[in-house]
Amino acid sequence: MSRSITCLLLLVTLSTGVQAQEMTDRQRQMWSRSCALCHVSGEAFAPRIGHPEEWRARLDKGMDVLLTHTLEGLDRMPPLGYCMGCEEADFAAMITFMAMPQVSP
Amino acid sequence: MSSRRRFLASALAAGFFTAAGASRVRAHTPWRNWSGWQTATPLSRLVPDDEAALATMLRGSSAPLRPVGSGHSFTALVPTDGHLVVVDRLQGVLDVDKARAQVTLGAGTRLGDIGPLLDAIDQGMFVLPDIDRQTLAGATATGTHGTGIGFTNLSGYITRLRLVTSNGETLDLAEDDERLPAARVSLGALGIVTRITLRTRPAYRLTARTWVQRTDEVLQTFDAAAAAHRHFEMFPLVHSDYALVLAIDETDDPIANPPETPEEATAFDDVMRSWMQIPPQDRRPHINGLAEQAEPAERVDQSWRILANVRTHRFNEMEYSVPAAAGADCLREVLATIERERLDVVMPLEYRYVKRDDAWLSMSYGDEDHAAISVHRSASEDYRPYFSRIEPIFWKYGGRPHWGKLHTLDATRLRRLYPRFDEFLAVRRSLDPQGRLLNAHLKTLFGIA
Repeated sequence: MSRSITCLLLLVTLSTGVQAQEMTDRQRQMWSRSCALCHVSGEAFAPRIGHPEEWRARLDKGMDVLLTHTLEGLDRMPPLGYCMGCEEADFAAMITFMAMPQVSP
Repeated sequence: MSSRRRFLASALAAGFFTAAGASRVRAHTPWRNWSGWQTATPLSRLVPDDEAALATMLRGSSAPLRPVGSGHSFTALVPTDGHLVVVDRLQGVLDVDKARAQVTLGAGTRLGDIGPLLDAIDQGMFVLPDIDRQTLAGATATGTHGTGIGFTNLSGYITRLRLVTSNGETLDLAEDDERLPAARVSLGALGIVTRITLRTRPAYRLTARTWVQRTDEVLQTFDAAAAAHRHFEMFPLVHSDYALVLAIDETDDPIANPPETPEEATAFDDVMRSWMQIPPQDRRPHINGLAEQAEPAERVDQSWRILANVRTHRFNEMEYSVPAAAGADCLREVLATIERERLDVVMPLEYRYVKRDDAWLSMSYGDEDHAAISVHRSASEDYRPYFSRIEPIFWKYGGRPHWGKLHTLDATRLRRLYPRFDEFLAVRRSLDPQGRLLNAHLKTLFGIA
């Protein structure tokens, strides 16, 4: 499944020229004050947005595992990643957004 | 982006979720606090876009409510099976009154965002807590404080706040409102705070100096050092003779604050892990040896970059404030107990002064400045055996618990510690007569069956 995830993400990028899971404006705002705190700079060893190689091993575990880690916290990542208003679907969209290769529109 | 591309993106992304097996998205997203020890499954998350939307939401339901900031409280202030009210979207600078040096901010503004926001208008906060990921509403509601004999907890800088009561009524509480001292440290029990006006000052730079010194030496001169420096605190290293000392003062020196690498940021965690491999009674020479080699350090930056730190090692914490005059004896007894009973602890303590204030539920309420003493335990460990051994020492010295940090006190004991406790409860009853903002923890604190 792992390769299929990566391939699918790449396919989406190639076919659309944009991020696979385009977040809504609301999700983007929530992301910028939560996940972005660590996933932009790589603080606390967080996998960085735009660095799909840092996400690959995590994607291999599947979205259910990633969501569980997001909700429950893992090591230095706090539960919910500082997004108290996020629902599971929001987290799924944010994870996909961050794991995607970032390309210019 | 063209509609075709948008369609492709969403369609393929939906395929990804299916392929990834994310189809079991739950109807009710669970909630946990920062350390992971407090949990809840709220009925829903209310995330209003503005105050009017919040009022409409609150009027449209009779279910229990609890506000949440960033989930940094270690106590069970937030857990609810009703609605979780998230004020994240009520953020940013709403008004600036430079003549009176006051700034109004959305209650959901993160402390860490306030620094740059105020910098842009040449203003700064007087003080910040050690961690700045909390929201302004959460930090003030719990009496969260920084360091310094000249500085109250954050709520002491509030001159006005707005809250929406559980029945959807909007209230502005100004300095002449007798309820403001109740609302400044409210535990989120009076209503949903939506905006807060703070006293500020012109933006400024600070220099932070750190060094290692014998704990008994620091304690002997602590009062003089606390008076001589803008901020002064220490982090006693348990099972050793030393403490890390931090002194912060204003400066005009140029900024010199190179960012830490992730490895530098976690270096002390690695050291603590190595200490855990050694039995507690054998650690002293190892820790002393390392402490004696530690070099002093200095950095200069804008105030908000110096006052707060990034803490990525998750932990649980208990903190009590005791009258400053009793602080040194209390700290010595805590350290001696850890030593004598060989408590297997590696995280340092924290010892600092906080100025007295007049918020009814402030830990520093009254006519005495207070010493705040914190003990910590990694989130991966059970904090209860350690904290239960230390907590009675705090009681012996008349300690008041930090509302956001772990403690076991109930209404009977809290009433003895807070002279205005019953007046706070009366304000609570008047603003939330149905008790929608109460959860099990608050009922214990307030003595409500």
